[in-house]
Amino acid sequence: MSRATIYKERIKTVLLVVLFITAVLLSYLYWRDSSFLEIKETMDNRLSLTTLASATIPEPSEFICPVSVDVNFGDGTFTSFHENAKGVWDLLLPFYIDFTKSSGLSVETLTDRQWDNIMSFQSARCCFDYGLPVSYFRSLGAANYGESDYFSDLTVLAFSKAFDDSFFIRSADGGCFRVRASEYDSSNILSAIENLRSLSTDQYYPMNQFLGTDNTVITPFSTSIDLPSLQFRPSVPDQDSDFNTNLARNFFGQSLDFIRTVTDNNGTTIFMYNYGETSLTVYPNGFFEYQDSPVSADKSISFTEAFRTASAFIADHGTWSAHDGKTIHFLLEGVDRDIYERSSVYTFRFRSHYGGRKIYGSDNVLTIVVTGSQITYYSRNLMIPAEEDFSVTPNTGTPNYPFVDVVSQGYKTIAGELMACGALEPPEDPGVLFDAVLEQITGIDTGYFEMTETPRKVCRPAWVLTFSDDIRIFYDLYTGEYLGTIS
Amino acid sequence: MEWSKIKNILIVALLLINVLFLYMLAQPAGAETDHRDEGALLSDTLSVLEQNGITVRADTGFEELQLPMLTLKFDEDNGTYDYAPTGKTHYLTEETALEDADRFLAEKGNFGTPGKDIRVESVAVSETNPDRFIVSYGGYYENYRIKELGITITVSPSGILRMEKQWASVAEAGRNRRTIIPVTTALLHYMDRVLTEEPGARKTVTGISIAYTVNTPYGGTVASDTAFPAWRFDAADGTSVYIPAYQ
Repeated sequence: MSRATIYKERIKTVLLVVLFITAVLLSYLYWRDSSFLEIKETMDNRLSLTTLASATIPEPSEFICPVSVDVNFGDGTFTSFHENAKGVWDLLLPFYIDFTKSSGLSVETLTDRQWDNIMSFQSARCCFDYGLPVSYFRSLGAANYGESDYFSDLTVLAFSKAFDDSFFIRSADGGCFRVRASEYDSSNILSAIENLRSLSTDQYYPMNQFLGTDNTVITPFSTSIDLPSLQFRPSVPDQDSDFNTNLARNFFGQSLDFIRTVTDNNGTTIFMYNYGETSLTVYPNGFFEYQDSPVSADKSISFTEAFRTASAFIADHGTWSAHDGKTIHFLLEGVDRDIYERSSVYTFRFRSHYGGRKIYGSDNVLTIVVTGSQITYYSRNLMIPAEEDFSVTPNTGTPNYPFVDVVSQGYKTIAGELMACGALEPPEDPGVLFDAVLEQITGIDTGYFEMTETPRKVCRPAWVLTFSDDIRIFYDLYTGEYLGTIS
Repeated sequence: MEWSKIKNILIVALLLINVLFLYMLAQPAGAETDHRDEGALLSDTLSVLEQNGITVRADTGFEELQLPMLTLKFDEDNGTYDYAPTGKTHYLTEETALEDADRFLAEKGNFGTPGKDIRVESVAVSETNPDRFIVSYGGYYENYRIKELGITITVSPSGILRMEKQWASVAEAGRNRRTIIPVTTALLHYMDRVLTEEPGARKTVTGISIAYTVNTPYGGTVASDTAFPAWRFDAADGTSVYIPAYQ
């Protein structure tokens, strides 16, 4: 190779390097404008979705749990599971799933009286606060036996030795049903119910056995569960001045450049996109509310699909944990179904639980609305425990205020509250007021009642008396003091 | 293939790529449309407006623009303030009224650079009292008027009598800019707005400009808000309409 050729090749090599560097520079200059950032933002969002897809999105079964499982052991003893209702539900549910695959299933309607008679035998009743759609059970493998012709959801799923070839259903509209198999081996479920005796911590009794009423709702005289008062604080991490902005990025992407941001003098910030069609309002205490205008999607999805959509959205927008990463346990508290144009609308309400006890009050609730497959509303009112070493200490035998004393001494207050809510008419004979109050009780539980102190909120352990129309009246578990009413 | 030939091909390819990039960078963003087409589009738009009773007698020659959003931080003391006369009087002209108002504002706080961030909009004799002058200031970002920002000062021979202040500082201009809709599109939106709000109205547009608007419905409780660019159309009947300028 001649010297001139070598010289020429070196020039070509240098030229190639120069041209390559120039191309890279020009490429950067061309893409560095907003369109590049928009592309980057889209990529970020896609990455975020990919990460989300690969992350663990909680399944519906993690949040669906009866508010109580009431057990009649058939020998005059009763119990009710509240804080460990999830474990009992997980134990009993597979029996129902298997049962739906039995041959010759048929559904028949029962009267309330028949229902009560059947439940007076050895039985277990899984009671929900809301109507759980039958489609949920199908997603767990239950067979379709034509139950949708009779009921679309259930609030009680029960099994009784009275007819051990059957399961019993109470639907959200109050209907009672017997689902009967032509052949079913009940030995395993009866044995499982009997074994629940060993898990029981408190003995329960039907009210009619000791309070001179016809009401058969079961209740303990007192409970050995020791529930400490809880202190909660707003869930905004201390000294996080970028909290609102970082939260908004979860909803609107990394660049908030074209998001309208309004802050009021109280510290509430509203982020709006597309002239307010999509908005996020963040309150100073960390509560937030997201709204998006529904598009006419004409799409109906199942309960389980809607639940998964909601679960994924919550996981990706503020997470299922507290803002500072603390683990919080939520359970589904309610579900409503509606129709928007021709799309299905599911509203899910989740409530946080501590030590298996529900916290009643306006806070500690997640509400999310799925319209078609779009999230059109999501609000999160969440307080977190103030103490780092928060825990619930069970079974220390701390004496508490007996339930009998709560009703015998507080019945006038209870009656007043029920009358104020329109759930009780003043009886002509004041002498029957006590009986009238007892008749109205539909459930007795323990839980936490949220007091209104600020900025730290105190939740006090309470007897929770449930009445018709979802009226709940709370009494301090240890002092018997009236705490409040939620209707 | 020889390495020398590969180099030749690569050099040609890179040259072509660089020329292409240079060409694209030299073009204003989104300027794919031929100017002649734009002219025809404008002419067609004006004809449509004319047919619907809207005559445009204003400059429509606007270059394509990319503008950011603005974060406005509202003054905490916005409101109306009345002041007692000083007792001393002096002869008041338009010029001295403006001087008095300027001096007063300089004492009252920082409203940005006079003539840049805050500009005199008008100096007019008071309709209720001919001895007084009303001096109006407007807030600006670069050369764009921010609709909601303004200070009105009532000047009398015995001093400043009143200040009506609705003011905010531009805390931040967005990092990214977005291309605003062309004047033709904005005119069609304007026509749509007029026909919807005042069916059958006849309008003569005498001024077209680009402004910023906050349009906050939250009154005095707002600490900060975002201002968006908007096309402003001033009509001969004294009305002004703002059309959002982002797509």
